[in-house]
Amino acid sequence: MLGGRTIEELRDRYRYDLFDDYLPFLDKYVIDHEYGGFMCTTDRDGTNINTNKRTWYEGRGIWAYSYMYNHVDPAPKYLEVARKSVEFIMKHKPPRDKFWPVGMTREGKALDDGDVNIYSDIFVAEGIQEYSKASGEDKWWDEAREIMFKCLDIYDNRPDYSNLSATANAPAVIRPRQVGHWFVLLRLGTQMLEKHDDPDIESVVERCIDAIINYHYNPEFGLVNEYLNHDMSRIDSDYGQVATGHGLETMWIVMFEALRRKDRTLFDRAGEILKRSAEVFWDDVYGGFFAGLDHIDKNIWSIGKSLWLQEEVLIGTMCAVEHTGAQWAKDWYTKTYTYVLDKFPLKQYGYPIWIIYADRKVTFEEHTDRVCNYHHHRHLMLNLLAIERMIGRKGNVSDVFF
Amino acid sequence: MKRRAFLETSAATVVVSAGLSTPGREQERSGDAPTAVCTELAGRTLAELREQYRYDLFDDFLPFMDRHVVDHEYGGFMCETDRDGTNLTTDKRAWYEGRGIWVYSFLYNKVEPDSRYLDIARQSVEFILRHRPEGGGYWPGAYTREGKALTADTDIYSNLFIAEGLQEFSKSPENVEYWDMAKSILEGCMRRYDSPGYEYPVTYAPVATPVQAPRVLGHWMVLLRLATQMLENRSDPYVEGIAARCVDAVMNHHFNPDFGLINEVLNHDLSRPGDDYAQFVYTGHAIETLWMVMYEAVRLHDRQLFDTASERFLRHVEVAWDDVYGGAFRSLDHVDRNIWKVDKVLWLQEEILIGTMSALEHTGAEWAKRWFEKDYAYVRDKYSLAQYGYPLWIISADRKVTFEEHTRRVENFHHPRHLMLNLLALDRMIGRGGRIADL
Repeated sequence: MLGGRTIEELRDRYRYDLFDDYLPFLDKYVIDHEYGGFMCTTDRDGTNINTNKRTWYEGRGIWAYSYMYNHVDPAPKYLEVARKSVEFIMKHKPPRDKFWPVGMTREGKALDDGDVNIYSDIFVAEGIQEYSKASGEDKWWDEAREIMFKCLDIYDNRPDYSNLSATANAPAVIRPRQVGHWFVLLRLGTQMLEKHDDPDIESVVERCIDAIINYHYNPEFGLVNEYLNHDMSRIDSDYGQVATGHGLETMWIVMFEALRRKDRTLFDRAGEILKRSAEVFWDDVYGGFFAGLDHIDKNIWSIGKSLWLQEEVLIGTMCAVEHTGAQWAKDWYTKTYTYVLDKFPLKQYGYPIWIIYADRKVTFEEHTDRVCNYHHHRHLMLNLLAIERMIGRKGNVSDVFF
Repeated sequence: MKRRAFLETSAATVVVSAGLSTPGREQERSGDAPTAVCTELAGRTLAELREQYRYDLFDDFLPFMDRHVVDHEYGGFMCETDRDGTNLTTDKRAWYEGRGIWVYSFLYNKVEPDSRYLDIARQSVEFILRHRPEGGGYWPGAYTREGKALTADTDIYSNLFIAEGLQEFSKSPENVEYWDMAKSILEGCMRRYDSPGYEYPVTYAPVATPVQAPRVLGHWMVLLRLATQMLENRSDPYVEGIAARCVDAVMNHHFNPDFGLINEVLNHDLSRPGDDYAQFVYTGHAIETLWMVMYEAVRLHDRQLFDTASERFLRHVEVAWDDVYGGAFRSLDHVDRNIWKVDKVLWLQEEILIGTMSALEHTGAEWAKRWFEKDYAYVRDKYSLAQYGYPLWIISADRKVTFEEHTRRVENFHHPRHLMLNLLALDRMIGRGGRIADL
């Protein structure tokens, strides 16, 4: 039993949410079958509020559909969605010292001069490295590698990169280190190394792990600092008091890397931090995980509820259940899954797919201006695969660490 | 394979097993089945834990009180005292006299029948009764050491604490007449509390606008505790009625099903105010009140009431617990905005220890054991002043319980009450061989 269901019932629920609820909606309303790419500015009933596209969502969508094809269901239609998005986005490949544009028209005209941080490019890299396996074309893996090192170079060396502005209570932080950066680099690196050995990427991955576990994790309060100074020292201002949902997301990404390298110590350490963070971020009054802890010592929270954070915890706890059988992971998975199924699916309001952002009580709103084409899809796929492996092992813990 | 090794192996190798029940209520989590016999707690045998409690009461708390706080000459308690025993003033307060009378009477009646304790209670009774107000008024709030009143009347709590002290004092055979005096004070308090013109500024509420003749959780709490204890020795329909009213007010009116927490302030007719008072939950009082409802349920042999109160007690502890630094927050100023006061008071941590010990004694609930152990470890780690070279425990502090060299007050109620109530619970549990009490 898990999530209040037998493991087979749980698998069936995941398959329903993926194949019957989520994918048909995307296919019908979000995927641009003509020009390629994803039109995510879409309302609950499928109305495209506009037909613009964003590099973030192209990269993420390429990843999701390539991963679908590679791991979940090798139907050519998924590969085709990914291929069209790759063709769409690669028309905008920037020069080496610049980032992809943030947004584009449906037909592919750039709407700006380029993003200001690494995320657009990193998501493209994550997408095309997965697409390289789906398409059988190694050039996309090489392209992803090039993007990764470009982003890392800018993160390390560009003057004034992603500075945090001065506020009434805190001076500016110049070129901060951000856990959000390390975890997307890490996730990219882990997946690339699953496909090809590369000592330079191994070094990047090692650097990310070191930054996350030994620097951003703050033993003073047992949480992951979102920001550090550029030299990895702690920020002695309000910026040093910020912890966000990224901390929880990061931990399952570390756990996946620990699986890749069969490092039980690292896996357990990340699991401990995930558990600790889940305990702190859980809203004891209304359930669910708060969006962020804006000031740890003053106990000031952003109290909205985002689906992605709930789903990151579901991935991390499922991973811990699969590979250790830990009771804490079962308990937190079940608690979170029960909460998520109660609050987020829109079926109870007469619509498909799930709410992606809401207030603290997850109050339904008739309209939305975005469909998420990444976190939800990723959660459903990763956990479906985990459940299928668990069924295949008749419930026994995996032997990855033995 | 030895049994322990087998169990560890099983836990590590079986991923998905039966027994993972619906989450949300701690009691239902796997591994939370009630224990039939409790023989160890907080990493100690029950006897070892009892010895620790006896040490904290008899070797740490009482000697300090005897030497620096108890006024053996004029009677009463000089609580404005620093960590080293220096009396910052020798003034006394009605609250602390009533509370001190209760503590030393209870100590004599239930824990250690040493006449020195009853003498301390008697001297305080004599001190405070010289100031008994006429016509149901409130006692003056403060006095000089010699007994000259320093303030006008204060609030309902002065009278209620004195009544609580007197009813306990009345349980020694030579003092039975004080039960009637306690009842008379109780009646006077109820008349005022029920009056539409009743005034009580809820100064700790984060709302500026006063409620006319408010109903206050803190009031019901003290009234209930007073009534429960009065009824332990004598049946009385009036006092029974007060106890029942208190339980009804707390469980059926102040309890807010919208968020499963207990509001501190209601309108006079027990309806919920329409403003931010409806969002105000003083978690400290709620947790304290709920163990008092549990004690009342024990008196009534009412298992259903006990279970409902303990379930809500757990709910409040879970919500109030500071997941970052440990300990419980005392005030949720606005539920939906998640605004808390983040200081840490010892009394609230000790109310949790009383409630969890009671739930453990009477149900064996695993959650009660776990929360007692978690809170007890936290309290010992943070509050004991022995680590800083002083006797006693810190009574109020910032969120991290940062030590400060000086204090302005010695606490003469919540701390000894916790020590005595839990010491008695441990005595009973040991006497039953660790078996759960039958409600």
